[in-house]
Amino acid sequence: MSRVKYKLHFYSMYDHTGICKHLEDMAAKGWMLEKTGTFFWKYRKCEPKEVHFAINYFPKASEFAPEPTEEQKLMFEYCEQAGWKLVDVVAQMQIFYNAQEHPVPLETDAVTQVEIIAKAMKSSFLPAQILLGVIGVLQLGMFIWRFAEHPINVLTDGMNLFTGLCWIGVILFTGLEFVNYFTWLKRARVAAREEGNFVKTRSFPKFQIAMVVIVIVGFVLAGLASANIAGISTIIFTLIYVPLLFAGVNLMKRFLKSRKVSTGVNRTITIATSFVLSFSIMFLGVRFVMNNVRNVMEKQAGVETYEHRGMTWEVYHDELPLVVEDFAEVDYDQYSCQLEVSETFLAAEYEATQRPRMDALEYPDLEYRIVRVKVPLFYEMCKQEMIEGRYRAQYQAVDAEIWQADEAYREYREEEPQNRFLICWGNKLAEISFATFEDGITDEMISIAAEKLKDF
Amino acid sequence: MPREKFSTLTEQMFYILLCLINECCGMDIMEKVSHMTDGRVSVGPGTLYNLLEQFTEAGIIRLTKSEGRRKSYQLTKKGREILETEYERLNRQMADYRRFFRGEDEL
Repeated sequence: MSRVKYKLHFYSMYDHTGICKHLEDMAAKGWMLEKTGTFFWKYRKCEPKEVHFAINYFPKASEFAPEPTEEQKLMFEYCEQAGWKLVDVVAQMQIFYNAQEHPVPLETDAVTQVEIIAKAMKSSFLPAQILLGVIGVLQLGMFIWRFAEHPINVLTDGMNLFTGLCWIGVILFTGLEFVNYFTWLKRARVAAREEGNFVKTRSFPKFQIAMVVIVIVGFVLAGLASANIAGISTIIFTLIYVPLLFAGVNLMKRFLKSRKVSTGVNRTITIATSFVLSFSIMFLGVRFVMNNVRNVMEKQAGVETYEHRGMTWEVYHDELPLVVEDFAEVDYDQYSCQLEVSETFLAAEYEATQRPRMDALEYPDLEYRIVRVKVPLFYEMCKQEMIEGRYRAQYQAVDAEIWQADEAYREYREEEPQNRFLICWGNKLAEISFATFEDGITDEMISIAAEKLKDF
Repeated sequence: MPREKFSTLTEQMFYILLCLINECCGMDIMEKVSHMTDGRVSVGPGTLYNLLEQFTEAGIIRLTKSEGRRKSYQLTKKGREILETEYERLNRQMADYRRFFRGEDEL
């Protein structure tokens, strides 16, 4: 049986009541805290014992300091005198244990204790929560903007959608932490001043763990739901990127501490390291994803390539619901047919492209896009995005009957009709371009297109 | 309106200041307070450290000697005034108690 165990630690920094109870329970089960960490705390096997744990906060302490300051060491001596032995120091938090049955508590003045906690939280917990909350609000704001500007892209991309939901989760989480902390602080100050009592702290570690698990599982599922190598590669990369970044930054901080580098220098180098690592890992990760996408696409059955004017072009043979050959006989058999699909439980997007080789551009090509909006609530905004999404062109309503549709629109540029249409069938929006058909578009072509696409 | 800091003293604050009428090493205060009060009042090491720091910052006590980590302190004039004020406050409380609580019994 292992003599060492690592456990996830999700207590809020000010929740010394919860932390101490947890550590005492662990000691009673035969596991003594040996070392703290960013997420995992290390426990060592021991004889089950009844010990008391207590936490003292030292507002002036810094996690970047090479070692405890003289003032902290003085505090440790005071504690040692009362039988409290230091276990570990993490940022402003100092953890002690005492094996005496009825030790003098580490803190005996509630007023002082509450104010010291408030002071310590101002230098660590609160700035971190504020930063996280601000980032969450900004990210959510950007997500909402993206959704307002490009609803189809967001609704059909599982990763995009999930990321937005995650930021909502981050805001709720930080909001809960703030409310919890300030509610406790207010009650604690009153109780300390008027009754001389200390109000126990409380946080929600199981809720926090559950949120992390939900985020990770949801993230993986969203990536898998993307059903493409880019999504899966992104999952693999992100699951490696986050722990790698944390580990790298912590490693640098601990290395500098072991070298007795000053607090200020350690802080500067560690922050710089976090920037450098995050960008370089991200850069490598993007290359990893793109290389994977390229490799898989090249290995997929039917994906060929050819060279033209120094560039490599890919040829696909996906099955398309509507092809150029449906409209007329074409004396050309080297078309590339590609169908890209993005889908979530809210909407699906199919982008179909049929193109001749670059050395045969005299032959017509065909491209169309179908968006199936599964939730009626989002239908109008998707339709508006498609109607308003044309550069220097407008869609104008035309006869929908010929398209067997509810609504039909034709693109106009400077009042000239183009061979590009937007068709609405029930919850389906289809955009189709006949731009390269030199003989123009006929009613028969419209009928064929309608038959092939309206039930796709 | 928030109360001025140290305008009233908690029991911990009172006994720490009482210990420092004469020069006293910080390490000895915990034991001294327990002895003074026959074990009724205990000062925790965390509380002791924080209050000594706060008293020093407020000019209520001053560092008189520093031998490595053994630091000695003593009340300043301001500290004596605060202790005296607290003593008078407690006396007034006791006088009110005698007047109104024991006074009712006599009635």
